[in-house]
Amino acid sequence: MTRDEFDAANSTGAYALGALSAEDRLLFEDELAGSEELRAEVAGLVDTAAVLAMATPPIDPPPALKSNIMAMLDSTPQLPAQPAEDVLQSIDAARFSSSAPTAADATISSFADHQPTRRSGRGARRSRIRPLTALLASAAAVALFVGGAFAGGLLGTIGSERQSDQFAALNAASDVTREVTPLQSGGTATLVSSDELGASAIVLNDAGDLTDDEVYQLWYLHDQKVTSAGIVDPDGPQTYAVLDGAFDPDYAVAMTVEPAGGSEQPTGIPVLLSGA
Amino acid sequence: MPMSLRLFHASSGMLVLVAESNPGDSPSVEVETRESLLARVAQGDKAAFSDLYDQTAPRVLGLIRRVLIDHAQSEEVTQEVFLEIWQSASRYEPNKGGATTWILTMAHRRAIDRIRASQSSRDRDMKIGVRDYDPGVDDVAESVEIRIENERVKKAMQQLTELQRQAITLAFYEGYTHSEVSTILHVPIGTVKTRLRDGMIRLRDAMGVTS
Repeated sequence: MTRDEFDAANSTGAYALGALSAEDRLLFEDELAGSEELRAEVAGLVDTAAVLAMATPPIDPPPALKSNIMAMLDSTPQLPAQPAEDVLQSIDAARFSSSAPTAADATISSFADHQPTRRSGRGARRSRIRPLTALLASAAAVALFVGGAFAGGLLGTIGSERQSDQFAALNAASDVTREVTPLQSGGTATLVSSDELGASAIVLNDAGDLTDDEVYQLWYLHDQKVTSAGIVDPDGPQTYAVLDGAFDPDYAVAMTVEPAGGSEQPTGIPVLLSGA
Repeated sequence: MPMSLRLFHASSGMLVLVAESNPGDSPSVEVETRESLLARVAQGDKAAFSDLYDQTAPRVLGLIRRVLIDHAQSEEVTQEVFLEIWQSASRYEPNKGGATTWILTMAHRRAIDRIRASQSSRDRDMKIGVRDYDPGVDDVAESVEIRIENERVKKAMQQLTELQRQAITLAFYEGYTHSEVSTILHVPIGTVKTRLRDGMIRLRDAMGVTS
């Protein structure tokens, strides 16, 4: 269903009932953000759906469920009260080439003078550095990363089903943005992110293959620091991996190819996917 | 909604939507509201989280189980929901709705996301017929509160057309998308969406939900 065909005004009931597909949910929430009228109707129908929920018989969970959950709180980071403000609205490439450079800083600064482009959505107010080429000559088919504040303890503890949940939640976020970066190999890398959720995902499409002893590694670049955001070792057309740490829209996100097991600092040539 | 009902809810530790939908009219109750508990959870208060869990976990598990059927998966998803509550309590906006609605909406969404992520594990093709609305209250020794909510929904459901009722039941309690509902009921997708909307508006009005 395309945006043009999507009838938001007629979808309020389906939305409140959870009956929209993930894709339609996203389209609907785009419309919702811009329509007071839709929001008012949805609020009433969501409350109505909650009454339907209340009519199901409660079930007392086993005591072990609560103790499991309580034991996981310490390793489950809480989102800050306010999404981080865009203090560094215009991240310029210079921040990656300033004093006390790490190896990664130096690498990144080496292509910091590429022509930036403008993107829609969140990316629109950000300049972008185009991906370098050598790296993705050997990129993988499809790799999906889900990361951000939900990652770390929570995702690590619960298991892989959590990731598809996270990806769905991310796509359903009211402020979700997608930044598509064409790859030299002909495919694309799409960074899907939500400031509100503090979460992001990267989808690589038609990007070629890695060798057996290579993995992708994602990095956050912020305050002249480079932090690993996790590794993915694609083993099929749809490989999921969880990023560590919280996504922050003011961080740049970069990807490199690293030896199996990943690296402390990037050794491959980074491709910037967002920010900077 | 009469005050006595609300006080009953309060003394049973179950503040319900009804109380939340009339915020200007809230009685002072001895049980801390879920909204206030959530605010404390957002500050990392584990005791508040524990209280909130005790108040809402049977609701959350009951709803998820209704959708997923499978008990083990339902407990897993319940765990995910409560960890998400812990994580994102700071993002709850009281002016946009009650805490119970927020929690149950999250629980429902996670349940249907789980169903859609693992459709093969639940043989949806087996579900050819449309079940009548039946939350299964007879299976449990339910409280007066549940009976009241259930009666309220049942009565409101009776005011829907057959198609509206079936479409809403399939979507909400069975977790089908509108296109699946369209296939099951042999009606066009646009018609399903319209029926879902009209039906929900009618339910809203019949149950006196204000937001």
